[in-house]
Amino acid sequence: MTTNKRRDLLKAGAAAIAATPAIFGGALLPRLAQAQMRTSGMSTPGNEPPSPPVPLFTQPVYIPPAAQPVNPATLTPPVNPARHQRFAEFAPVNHYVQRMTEGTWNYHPALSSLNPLGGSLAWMFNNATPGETFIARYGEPFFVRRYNNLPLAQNARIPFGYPATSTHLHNSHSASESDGYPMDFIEPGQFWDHHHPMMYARNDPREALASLWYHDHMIDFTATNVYAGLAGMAIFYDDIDSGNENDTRAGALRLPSGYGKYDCYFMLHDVRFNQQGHPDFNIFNTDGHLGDVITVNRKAFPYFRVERRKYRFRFLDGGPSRFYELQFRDKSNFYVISNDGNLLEEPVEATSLVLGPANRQDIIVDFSKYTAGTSIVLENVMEQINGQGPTGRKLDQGMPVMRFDVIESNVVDNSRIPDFLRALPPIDLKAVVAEREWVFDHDMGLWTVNGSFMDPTVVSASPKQGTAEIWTFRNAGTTWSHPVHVHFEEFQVLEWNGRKPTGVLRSRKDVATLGPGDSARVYYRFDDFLGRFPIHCHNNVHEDNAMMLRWDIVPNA
Amino acid sequence: MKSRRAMLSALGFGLSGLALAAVASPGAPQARKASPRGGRASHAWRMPQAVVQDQDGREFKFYDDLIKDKLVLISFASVDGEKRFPIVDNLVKVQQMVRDRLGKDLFIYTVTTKPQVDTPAALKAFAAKKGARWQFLTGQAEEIAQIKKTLGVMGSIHGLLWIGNDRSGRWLSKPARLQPLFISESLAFLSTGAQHKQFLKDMRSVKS
Repeated sequence: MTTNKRRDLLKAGAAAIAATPAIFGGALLPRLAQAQMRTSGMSTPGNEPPSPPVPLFTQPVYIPPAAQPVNPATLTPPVNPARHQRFAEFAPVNHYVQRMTEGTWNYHPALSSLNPLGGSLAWMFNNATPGETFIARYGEPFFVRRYNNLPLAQNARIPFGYPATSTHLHNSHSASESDGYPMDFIEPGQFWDHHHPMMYARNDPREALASLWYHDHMIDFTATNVYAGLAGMAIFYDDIDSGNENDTRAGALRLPSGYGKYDCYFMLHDVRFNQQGHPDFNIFNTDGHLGDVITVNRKAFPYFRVERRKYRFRFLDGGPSRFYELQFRDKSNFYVISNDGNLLEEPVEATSLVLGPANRQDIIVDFSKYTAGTSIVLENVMEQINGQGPTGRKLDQGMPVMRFDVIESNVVDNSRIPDFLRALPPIDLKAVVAEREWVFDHDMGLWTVNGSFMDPTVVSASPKQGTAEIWTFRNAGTTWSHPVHVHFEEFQVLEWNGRKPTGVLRSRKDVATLGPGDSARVYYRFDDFLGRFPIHCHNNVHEDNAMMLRWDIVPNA
Repeated sequence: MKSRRAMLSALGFGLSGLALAAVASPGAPQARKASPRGGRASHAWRMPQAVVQDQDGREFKFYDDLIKDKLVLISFASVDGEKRFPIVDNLVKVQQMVRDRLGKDLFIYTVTTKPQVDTPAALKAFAAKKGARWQFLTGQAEEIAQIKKTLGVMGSIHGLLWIGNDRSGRWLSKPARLQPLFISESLAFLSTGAQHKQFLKDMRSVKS
């Protein structure tokens, strides 16, 4: 009975979701904005040559292995607790080492075969892109030492990016010194230690994060360094989202589980390759970068073989500038269970998934409805013709992303799509001590936040630890989209363009994807750690052109 | 390779050809155009081979003479626009910080966004008034337009400058009115050589 009730409810919600992309707060780009699209903005300066042809669905998707811990006694110099806030309280259970190097990566044999290196140039973590996936549990803090073993700039073969790095675990509740602040960078030969306490914000399990990713955050070079390959995924489990579909404990959600098996993380990057099969990037185009080859975990147009059962797919738009509306070509439905990697209260039935750069959404797809031998293409129907953002129109002919091939299987599927996932933490408006507005705009070639631009010595806001604030993110542009990202804390939407959030927007988020003219009023709390964090546009090209400000959490004296 | 070359000539040289045809004035620098874009740096092909003049009336090929194998800062301004959104004053402070390298292994350029009115003489007077000892560039409108298009400059006032090292192929942009320390620091970062740290002023140590 409860199932039926939920299904009815979901159907009612699904109609609304299907009509309007939810990430934009349930609103398509305003017609006014479409009308005002400048023709000059349509043609990006120096349209880039197309990539060499890449055949579709001829190679399996890459599943990065789970990171393997090392013995902390092998770390030289040893871990220095004094560098980290509340280290003793959250003593690491697992230690990891990653080395960033330049090398080659096989995006596709059709590309790798175009040059004598036998692969496409890449910057990698432990010789792979994406790097290993960190699988972590709440209550089990972990520690990562990252070595920058990239070549010096003049020796780097990748013709873009800069070999200094600062790795950000987006959007882990970690102290500033472990957050990958853009100025906390290391140069070749240096290392940086990251301590992730694996605590819920405010020790509240309703604040749990599930699907995260780590990526470079080097000042001025985030877009190019991530594009070169410096990104990977992370999964956080806890008592209810336990990563075990056979979990018999009360309250366990029993979502499809087994990392890389029935619980898969797919990171999308649109890449443009040159005629030698190496990634290409027009660094002089400050609108943003658009690739013409969609890669999933850095494999071009891959396939993935699925059994006739339920799967949890964690989709992430790895940017730098492309927005997606993903749908199965047969328009089949699925259940969205998270927004920006955080479980919703209730699953939302949908037929398409809207993602802006850095957005994550987990979905559950049930392949038991297909017969073995069926292939289902996942495609992108969001039209985008330059780096500024989507046009607001849908593509008639979807752009291929990847393909799911259903194989004969006789599996017992104990996983479930629960009626209720995770409660949202309460919004206490009485605790609000300040309201701030952040206006994102573009003027005179400058990408500005509140008319200002990134200066790491200027602190643009200093919320007090232990307080709540209301922040408004507003996009003052008429043609641009800006996925606004704030580090460290998740927000809950109070109003999006004046309307209460519904569907997947009733969630905890860390990227507010603002379409032209959009305004989002959100609720924040600031707790647990002190220090400096950035707010920035996660179209990383805009970010690198200074669309970023610093804000600090200060003691509540 | 062949198809790429073809593409490049279609994009780049075709464009230059058009611009030339449009100019067609006496003494059009046809000969200078003959040298292809390129060089060791992979971004060279995106750089226009425009012909420009500095405030002393000397003529240069934008890429070959001013950027190739060099560490450069390229900004955009006009004498008129400086009244409303001045950036040169800030760059003069940068100049002070890099004075020992300026003109030797580090070059600063300001490209006029109003080539019709900003003659070499006008720019010379302006630079002298400001104490700017770097090169101010003007030229025929079509030549300047190519540079503007390549570097994403739309209007006559532009708040973003470019810093690049053609030898390593690394480029970044900075707001032209950012505090000068950060601009000079970026120049240090993009300096070629393992010993670039000698130029760093360690902006991370700056107290907020």
